[in-house]
Amino acid sequence: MNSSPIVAVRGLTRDYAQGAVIVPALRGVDLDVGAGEFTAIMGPSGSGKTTLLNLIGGLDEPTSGRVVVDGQDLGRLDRGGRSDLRLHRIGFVFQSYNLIPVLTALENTEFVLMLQGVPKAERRARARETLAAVGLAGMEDRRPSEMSGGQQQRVAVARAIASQPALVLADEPTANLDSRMGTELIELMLHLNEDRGLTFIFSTHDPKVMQAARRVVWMEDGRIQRDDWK
Amino acid sequence: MMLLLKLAARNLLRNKRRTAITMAGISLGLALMVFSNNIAYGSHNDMLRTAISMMAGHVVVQGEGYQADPDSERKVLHSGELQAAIQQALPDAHVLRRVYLDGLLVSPVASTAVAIKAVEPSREAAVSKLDDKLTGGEWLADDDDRGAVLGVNLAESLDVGLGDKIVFMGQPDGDEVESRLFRVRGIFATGSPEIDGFTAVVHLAAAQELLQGEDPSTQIAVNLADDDATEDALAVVEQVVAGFPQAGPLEVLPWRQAIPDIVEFVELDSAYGDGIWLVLGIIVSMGVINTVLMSVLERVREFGVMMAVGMRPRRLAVMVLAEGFIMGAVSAAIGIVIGLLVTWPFMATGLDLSGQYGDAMEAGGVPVSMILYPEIDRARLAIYPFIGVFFAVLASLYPAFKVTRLSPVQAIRHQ
Repeated sequence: MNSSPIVAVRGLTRDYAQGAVIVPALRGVDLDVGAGEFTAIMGPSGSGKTTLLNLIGGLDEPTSGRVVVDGQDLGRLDRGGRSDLRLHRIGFVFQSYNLIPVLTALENTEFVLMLQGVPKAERRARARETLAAVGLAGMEDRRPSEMSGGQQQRVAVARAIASQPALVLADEPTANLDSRMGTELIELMLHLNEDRGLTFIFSTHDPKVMQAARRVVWMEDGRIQRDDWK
Repeated sequence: MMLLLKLAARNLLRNKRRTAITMAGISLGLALMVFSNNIAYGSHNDMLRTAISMMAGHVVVQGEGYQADPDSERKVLHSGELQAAIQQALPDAHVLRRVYLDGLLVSPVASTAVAIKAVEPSREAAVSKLDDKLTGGEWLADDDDRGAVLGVNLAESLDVGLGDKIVFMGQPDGDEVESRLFRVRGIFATGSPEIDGFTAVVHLAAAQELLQGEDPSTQIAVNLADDDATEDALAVVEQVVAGFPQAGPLEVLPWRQAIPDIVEFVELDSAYGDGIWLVLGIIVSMGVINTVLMSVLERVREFGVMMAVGMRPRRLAVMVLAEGFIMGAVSAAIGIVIGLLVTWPFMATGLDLSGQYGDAMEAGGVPVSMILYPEIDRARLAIYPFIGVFFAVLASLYPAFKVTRLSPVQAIRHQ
């Protein structure tokens, strides 16, 4: 493991209230992820995978515990600070693509760069290059509704990596794709991990992802049960 | 900012029908506002012009204190000389003298209270156009100091017709009762019950006979071709009057002070109209809030994704406000154009409401024609776009606030 992890999670708990009942989603998680890792978090539904990713991404706030991403303690950041951390250091890929439907593939890819204030010419060039890297050269002007699920997820990956983040969080990225497209997407992300040294953390049920991952963290009932390294 | 505007514009085009319906509501509301304000503005101007020409002038000279206490003893002496001096100083203006007297008008069969308006016939006709309102007989001749032109209702209550004798009785100067015989030369109808029921127009010279002092009159009225020249003319008249101490202690007033009741009536009527439009604006805003909110609620998941990739909630709120801004600005432009296009033909032909309300109505004591000629209120024309944008952005405030309260996780899970 890398001596200075890009993600450090300590004693993380997250309880949700369902009416008068408190449901613990995470019951004390410790996890370090080093730079350049390709890590899969596996587990059945309700095991706490997505909750853990949301907390690492600063989308949610823990009940207790600490999350440090790229040297920044999320507990010390306000809402805006967490937004800025996501904007500059974290890329997200969601299960159901979640592209902005009114923007083209190119505009979706350069969206984060626009938020970062990257000059137009530079962000256009970077977005085109990133789309080409995910195999979508020539599809820049298509809107999400004009693309297949696999192509949309590739655009989502392009959006996530275009700003060259320190970390990409992917929540069940292959869940809505057929087997072939799912395999292609995993190969793409593995390639980006190896080629660009991007750090990936997935939550997944998909055995293909598990096979591809160099590290598999097994979760159940809000706890890490096993941490397998290949 | 360009990104937010681009996103906002495309979001509006996402549900074209809903956007079109919302914008149609704003546009039509504004078009109606433009048209009705133009009608009101034209009517108010017509009313003020009528009041200025019939009751005062752009600038009036009268005995000191007459405005506060209109007593015929407060007079302008040597009024002919002063009139000539003012006319010389303002050669393009219509300068005319009037005497106002209150008293009793008596016919062989009846008597009634009357307001005598004594005028220089041809000068008065050129300004107040009262001769155009004659329904019978003729206007006074410049050498006819025995003639009288009566309001139609006054003639009816005295039961007199053309050629009949009438006698004016009054105490124009102190306690002494004065009387004078007139013959009815003409009958006019302005549509104002007050004017038609109580006004008799006679020759200035006839009224002067009833007043003491050298060449007296109650008022010298200065009528200008351009309302905006009032301030300059006021300064000129004040200067002339200052050089005429023999005319007695005088006051020189601009029309706004000379007809304060009518000015106040117009201002109140405008404020009332604005109040109605404010209420309508709020009602339209409620509709806009509803549609913007619907549009926001449909995109909660999308907002969650935007927040997840690092967009601050404040920028999302600005995007929602930008949608309101674009809708308001485009709707305002369309609404103003429609309002002006609807106004345009009526500027020439007038909007004829005489079928419903008769030829004229009285408002603030002034006869107002029921053929309404709209005029474009340029000052307001510059404000209308801001009104459209203001209400549309106002309606977007609550949905924008809702967006800032979203939790990214809950928003992304939103179905």
